[in-house]
Amino acid sequence: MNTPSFKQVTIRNLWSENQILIQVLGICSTLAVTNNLINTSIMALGVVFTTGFSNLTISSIKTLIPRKVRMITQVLIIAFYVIVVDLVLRAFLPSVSRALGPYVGLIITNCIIMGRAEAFAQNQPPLISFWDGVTAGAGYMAVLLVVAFIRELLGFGSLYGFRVMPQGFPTWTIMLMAPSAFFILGIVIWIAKSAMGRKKKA
Amino acid sequence: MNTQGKIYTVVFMFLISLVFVFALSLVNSALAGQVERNGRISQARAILNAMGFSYTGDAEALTLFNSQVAPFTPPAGTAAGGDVYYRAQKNGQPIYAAISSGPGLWGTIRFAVAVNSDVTETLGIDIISQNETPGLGGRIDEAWFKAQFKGEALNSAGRITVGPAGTGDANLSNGRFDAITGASLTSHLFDVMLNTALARLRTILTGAPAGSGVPAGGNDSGGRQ
Repeated sequence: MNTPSFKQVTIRNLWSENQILIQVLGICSTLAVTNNLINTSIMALGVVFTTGFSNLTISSIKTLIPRKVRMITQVLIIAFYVIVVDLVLRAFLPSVSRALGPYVGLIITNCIIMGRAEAFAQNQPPLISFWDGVTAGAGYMAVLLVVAFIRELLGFGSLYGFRVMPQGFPTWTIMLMAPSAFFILGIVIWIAKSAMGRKKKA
Repeated sequence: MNTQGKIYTVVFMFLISLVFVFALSLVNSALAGQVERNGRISQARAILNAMGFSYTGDAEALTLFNSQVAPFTPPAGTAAGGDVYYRAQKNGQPIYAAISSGPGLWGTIRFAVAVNSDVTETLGIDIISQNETPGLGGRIDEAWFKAQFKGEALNSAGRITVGPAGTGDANLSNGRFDAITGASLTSHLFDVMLNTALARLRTILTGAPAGSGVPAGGNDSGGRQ
């Protein structure tokens, strides 16, 4: 398999093969945590860290991993990094850890991490695999932040907890509930795919 | 080396598990002290917040807790149901707090609730730990939700009951709190665990049997808002 350049990996993960916009992976957390920007940012940073370092580790030892146990090995490595993230949050950011509740542990089940490990890190050198993990996580983070921006603004009238809408602004209850993420994400995917289509035609 | 053989696979799995579990135990050991300290601070802050003491930082919270709050042992024979009790003096009056817990939607919710000595009003609540859905049930830890219990008079049945979803019930004399929008189950479960804790406190502090309401004239809060 040819090794792509850092630039190719970056463009692919942030835009042309974005994990959420194109691959439609990691949707559970997209629906669950995006009703406020603080939780979304911390959760997405956890995914960036975990995807990057699990890719780096898996790529570094890929020649030693027997094929028949490669997936369980990947899960073990991913779980290790997720527990590290959870412990660090509990030790140094206890209020964030409390606010995110069980979602930090559920990063283990995020399909993006397993997807990048299996599709990229298992076949590519360590450094580019690390970069692939970081940018795949960043692409996920970018889409989540767009969804969270809309939901928090309309649902709470605030951004990162700071009130930005006028006092009399009627908050949209539906924006606080998971179904709103479905249609906002659908609209975001629609806009992104339309833009990609226009670029291809041009 | 045949990396696909059975013996290699078994040895590989054993070694890789050993390495990562060992690394994890190292990280855990390095951070365990800090996590444990955070737990102690979190509990002390929750009790102080529920009782209405103010402080500026963690160090002051611990000092204030150690100097003002003392553990309280319920009389023999009263069922505490695993709750832990604390006592303090505020404005010359004894006040009490319980650390209690109950099942939430996804896991156990641990909280502190403080009451006056005749258990006719809650002085405040605070959440110590919870695993509710972030942004929905997890909002029980937000200031507006907890503010509903600051000086809230219990109703004639000796309860504070959940009402419809809202942005915070400001009426302190109606024995009611607003549910969280989109988290009605968490709100109802919190109603159950809070009232269970209040019933135990009433039994312990006033000797009233479980299920009895507020003593006559006990919740004369004069329609405070």
